[in-house]
Amino acid sequence: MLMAGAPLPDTRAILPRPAASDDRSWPALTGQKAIDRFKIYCSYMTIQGEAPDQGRPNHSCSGGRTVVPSSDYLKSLVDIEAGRISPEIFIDEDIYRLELDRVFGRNWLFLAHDSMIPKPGDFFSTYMGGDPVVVARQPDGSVRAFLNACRHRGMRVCRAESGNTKSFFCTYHGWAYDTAGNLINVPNLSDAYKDRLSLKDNGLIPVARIESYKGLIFGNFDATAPSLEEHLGDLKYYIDGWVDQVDGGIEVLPGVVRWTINANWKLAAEQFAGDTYHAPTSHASSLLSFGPPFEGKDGAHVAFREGHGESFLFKRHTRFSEDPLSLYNDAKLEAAKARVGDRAEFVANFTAFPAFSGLPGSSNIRVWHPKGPNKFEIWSFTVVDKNAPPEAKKAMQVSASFTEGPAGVVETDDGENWGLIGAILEQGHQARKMRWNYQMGDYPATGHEEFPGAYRDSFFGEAGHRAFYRRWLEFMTSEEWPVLTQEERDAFNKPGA
Amino acid sequence: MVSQIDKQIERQFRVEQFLYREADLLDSWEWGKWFELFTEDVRYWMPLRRNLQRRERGTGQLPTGLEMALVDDDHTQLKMRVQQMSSGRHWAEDPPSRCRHLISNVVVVEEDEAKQELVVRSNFIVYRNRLEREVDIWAGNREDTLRRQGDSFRIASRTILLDQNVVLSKNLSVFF
Repeated sequence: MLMAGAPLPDTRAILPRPAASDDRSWPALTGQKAIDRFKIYCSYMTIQGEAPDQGRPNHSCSGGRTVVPSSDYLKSLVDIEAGRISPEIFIDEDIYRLELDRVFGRNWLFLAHDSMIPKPGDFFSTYMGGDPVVVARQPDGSVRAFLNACRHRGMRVCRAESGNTKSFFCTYHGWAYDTAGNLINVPNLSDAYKDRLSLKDNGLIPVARIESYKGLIFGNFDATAPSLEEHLGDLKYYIDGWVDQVDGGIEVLPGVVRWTINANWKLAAEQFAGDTYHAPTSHASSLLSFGPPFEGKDGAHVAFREGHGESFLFKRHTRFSEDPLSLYNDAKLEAAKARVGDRAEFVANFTAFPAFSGLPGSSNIRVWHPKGPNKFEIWSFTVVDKNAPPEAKKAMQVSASFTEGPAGVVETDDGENWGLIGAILEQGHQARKMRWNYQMGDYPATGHEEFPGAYRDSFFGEAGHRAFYRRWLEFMTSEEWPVLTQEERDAFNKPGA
Repeated sequence: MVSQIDKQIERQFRVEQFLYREADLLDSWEWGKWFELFTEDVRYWMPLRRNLQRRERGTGQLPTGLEMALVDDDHTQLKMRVQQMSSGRHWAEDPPSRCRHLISNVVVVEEDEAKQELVVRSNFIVYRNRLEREVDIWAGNREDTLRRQGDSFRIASRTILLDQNVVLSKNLSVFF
């Protein structure tokens, strides 16, 4: 799949002339520069598996011959210092294939919450990157996850989205697996295989690592990755402020709301990493009609070297007053403040790199499942305090249905934005040469004595976006899991410390 | 003396005409007039459609009553949605989509003479053409409780069952 029309980074019409050292983004048509341009073109195409330096010792590779965009090319697309990013990263098929391997193939991806699979045999079907995965509660209470693909011909072994079972059964040839993924039955084992088939070696492909944080279960296909807690880093402080407000923690309401956007998953992930700037415009008809308006000084945003970002309002802006949910929130406020301080009143949005996001305050967990370079699914989980009274939980369900989800009065307008951007990139040629602007909040982080992370004192800012893409680029251009040293993290997350 | 069958034909005619005219209001962007067709105690509900194992199908569609829904509105919420449509700033539907609500298979399931209510099922296909080339097609089934009011009806409840598990559109910003 050599790309005859491999996109060249040509930005003449849009950008001021870059520094001389940045020839790569400034190709001309004659002389030495034409040769350079040809070199860039060649550098884009490295045949995976042929070049000796393309080995992947630590994680599974997509296999076969894949055109891998070179690191130099990728770096030419994502300029964090200048706050400029090429939309090629949202539409290019080869970049997407590499992303499945290097970002989704070795990262902590949200699978489920404990409350969704409380009993042995409970399972939940989800995805890790493009791959279907089943998460199942084991008889001993632990959780395992494995590829939802039979080892014989790759057929799905589980077609229900959730439920309880003793085994998973392939309806193609009848291989059966227990809830731990072990192959437990093969039809005609003695006469068809003469008992020469090893059941032990043909279990479902396990997700290498399963770890959970306060009931939030994550999986990772890379056995060499640092722990989930290390990856989440100081974002845990903000997650705690949401999931640990009251005794008993949170639970997820039954029913995952899922819908489809014809755009790249990163557009949603970056928005949740800190784009509150869109709200007053995008959500003019809903947010501002149903609640008081807010300004930058009403909140702040933080970024993390690990690739996470969050922005938050300091005080809850309640859309509904005197309903059971507001009454419950008011009633628990003192106790919650005693546990998590000011975080009890935050209305926030965050992204934990790469594809797990949340809306504390709207009680919403999100996963962005990629379905191709220009398509993703939103999976939206609604969370409530586990010990909240039923009427408060019901009010949360009604509120979440009304505001979020594909029919939500807030969310519908996000779909319009993402879908139209996706359409422009799908058809556009000149539009793909543009460099998008990520310069908001490009001033030194001040840090904050209480709130960890690179803290900037405006509700509006794109530091979280830049942190996200900085990390994305590291994963995309690294053969190994790009380990961060404590010094690197401190230098970024604790400015002025 | 009007025969039983004549009564049923007339009832069927009135129900169908009501549903067709309702659909016409939506397709004509007359959301305010459409909203007037609902009673104040209405529940306008669009539950999720789930893929479950055969033995779990039909059991406990709503095990706790807390199951998430695509829409779960009362009269006030539905009114807010209609106001949003008319706000001039609801970008998902501004400029408005062109929609075609095709209603068919209208069956009166039961009639409660005392309450003056009918339970009516119908199938729908909604075609949406948005801006230039975007097209969404949603099919499904509705179960309405229609309350007699004069010669016509008001919708006292509507349950919308979309025949999609993962919703295959970027939003559900139209009414069903």
